[in-house]
Amino acid sequence: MHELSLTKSILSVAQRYAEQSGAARVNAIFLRVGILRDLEPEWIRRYFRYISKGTIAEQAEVLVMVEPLVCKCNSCSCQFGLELTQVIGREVLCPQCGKHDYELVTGMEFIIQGIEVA
Amino acid sequence: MSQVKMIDIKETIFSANDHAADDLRKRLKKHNVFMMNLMASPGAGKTSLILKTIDALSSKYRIAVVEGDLDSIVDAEKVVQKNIPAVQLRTGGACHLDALMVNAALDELDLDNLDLIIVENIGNLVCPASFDIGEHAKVMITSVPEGDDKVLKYPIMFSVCNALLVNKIDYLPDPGFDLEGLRTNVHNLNPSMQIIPLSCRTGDNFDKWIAWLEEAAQKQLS
Repeated sequence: MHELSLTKSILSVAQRYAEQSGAARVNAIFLRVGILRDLEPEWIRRYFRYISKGTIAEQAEVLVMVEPLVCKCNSCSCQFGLELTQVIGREVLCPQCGKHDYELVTGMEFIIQGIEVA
Repeated sequence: MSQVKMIDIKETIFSANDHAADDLRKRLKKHNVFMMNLMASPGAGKTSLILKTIDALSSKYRIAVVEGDLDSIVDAEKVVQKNIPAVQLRTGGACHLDALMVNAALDELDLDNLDLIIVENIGNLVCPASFDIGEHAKVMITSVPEGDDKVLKYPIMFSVCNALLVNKIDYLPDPGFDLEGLRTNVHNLNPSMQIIPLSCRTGDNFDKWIAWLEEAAQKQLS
């Protein structure tokens, strides 16, 4: 995926919030990224170090929390985790009621959770 | 001494496009138009599907096509030959369509005299999955010659789409393609996804696609 344009979005959001709060610099940027995004944090960090030069976020560390796949059963509302390895192979059923009727609640997100500023 | 503080943001990285897509959805509702987003790898059969869908439905619905696919300048002409309004987006080599681009395309159409818009997205199973274009239905095509192992390679695409068309079933039986296995794998990621195996070339099971599309459109149109 296009890590560079994503990184530019991250930088611009961090700058906006940092400037609005009157901060002198951004120390850290916290991302919450679902496992299905298959994001390589190292590439985001490399691009970020490059494009943030000369900006308020020049020294910021980019920290990525990877969200696992979690499903919510539409029949009984049970929430259960799903490993990627389970997707291929046998039919996945709700561990509580045994139905095959659920939706993903986490695993696909790409969220700028917050920043630490000084 | 400067004070360190935490600022909550909790914004999706796609939020600007998501807002633009919501505005586009409101615009479509105002004009009572149903729009679908068609996505696939190059060669899977997007254009064939569109042309055949026009043949099946143009006497019943006023259809327009927005062509985003890079190599579809020729295909836009095929659509125009069927007397269907077509807008060719010039994206400058973009890898996906976004809401702003599609909104600009809608400016070229007479929305008051349309019922159904088909957007042919860029031939790419990665990026288009993340960009809401204001559509009411997301449809993807995979084809038998591409193989049955795409679910974990393109999980976002399989997760966000409402329907999966498995095209070129005229190539079956193919020892390298396990249709039932594919169904199970897709439904493990997206249990509510409608899966329709068909052949655009022979017409096999094409009526199931038309029935699904009509049902989806009827839910939106008043």
